[in-house]
Amino acid sequence: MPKLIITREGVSLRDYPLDQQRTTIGRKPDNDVYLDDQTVSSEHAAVSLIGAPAITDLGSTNGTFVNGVRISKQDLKHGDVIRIGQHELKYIDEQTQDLAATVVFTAAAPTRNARLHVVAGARAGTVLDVTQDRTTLGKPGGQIAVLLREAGGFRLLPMAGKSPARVNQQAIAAQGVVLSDGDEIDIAGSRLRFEVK
Amino acid sequence: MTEIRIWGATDPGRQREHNEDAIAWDATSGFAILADGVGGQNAGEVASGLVISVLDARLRADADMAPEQMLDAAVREANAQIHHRAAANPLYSGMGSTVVAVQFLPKHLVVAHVGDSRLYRWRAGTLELLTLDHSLVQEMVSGGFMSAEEARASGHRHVITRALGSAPEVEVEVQRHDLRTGDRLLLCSDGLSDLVDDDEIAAVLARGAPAEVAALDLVALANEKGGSDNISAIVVEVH
Repeated sequence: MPKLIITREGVSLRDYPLDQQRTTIGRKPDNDVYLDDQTVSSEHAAVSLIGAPAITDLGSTNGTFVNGVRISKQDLKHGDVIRIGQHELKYIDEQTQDLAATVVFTAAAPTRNARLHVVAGARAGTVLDVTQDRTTLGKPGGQIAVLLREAGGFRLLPMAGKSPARVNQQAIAAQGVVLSDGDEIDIAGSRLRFEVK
Repeated sequence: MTEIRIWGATDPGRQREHNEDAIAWDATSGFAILADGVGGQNAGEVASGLVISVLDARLRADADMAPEQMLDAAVREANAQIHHRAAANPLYSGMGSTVVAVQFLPKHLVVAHVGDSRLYRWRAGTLELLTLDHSLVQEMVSGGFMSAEEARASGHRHVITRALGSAPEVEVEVQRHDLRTGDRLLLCSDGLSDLVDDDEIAAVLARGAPAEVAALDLVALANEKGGSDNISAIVVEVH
């Protein structure tokens, strides 16, 4: 799981695991990452893991900086340093940190039934029940993605293609995206709606 | 009567502090075992170590069983032990291991595997992979969705779909192949097969150097190419 290592003036404060699709950062205590710092705006920035991991400035007074450059929106990669006020947040993505590490995929027992409804493309109207631990979507030689049944949900992982498949119009990141009911997947010329029964 | 010589080498590689691979062999009893552990701290080493100790004991014992059944039972026992240890101790939670284990018979070999540790056979100048990885990319290749080249380049090539320890039961793939004089076998972990391609493996085995030299040469080759993971190789000569 990606995380932020939060430091202030070189002193490490804490690690924040990025376990949600969107994480907000700001001076108000109801932010996910609460920074007690007068130079931070009440709602300062947000990190999104939907599609490619990215940080967005939410119209802050003093700005959001990635590797020293002021940004409004910026993709994040492992090791990037975000500066917000007097705080620094280092973006750590273990998956890109150690590409050689073996990962064991363990399928979860089916808890919820899911299906894919083809809403556009050659097989429009078809409904596919997701019955397997792993369901491959796409076309050989084109975009390929695999739908993994995990504990607590389904994750769509891009496997091949010049560009990754898209979920709700956003390119899916290398580590995939956890699907929610109603999400729309664009892959190999078809659009599929993910539905949880 | 076939005679075999076996030698293995294992190395942490250039980027890891620990070696989570484990190997064992016995030419007299006619077996070779290789395991690649997964898990934080030293859990990966514990898992691969358990695989070796369980299989070594089972393969040495005189079993009143067909080799296929015996290997299957031994690997399933290793799975149960790892799963049990992982459930009992939070430090070992999530640990697992791959395995490739070969029993040599007078005219055949029997191989059991789980995960992406491999058995190759070099015969009369041709290298053949006898085991198909239990991995996400291999499923894509087998299903015709990806080419072997795409699989090798994929960022998800290290995602395995079966491992010892991750569930109370495991499905073990067991196969029998014939054995011929002049054959050379290679058991290896993904730290080798990831970095050293088939042509390079074939070239090392074709030299006809003793097993101990070939095993060390293959490990050295993977280290020259970066040594990004633990590297293990067991080479078997068939005479």
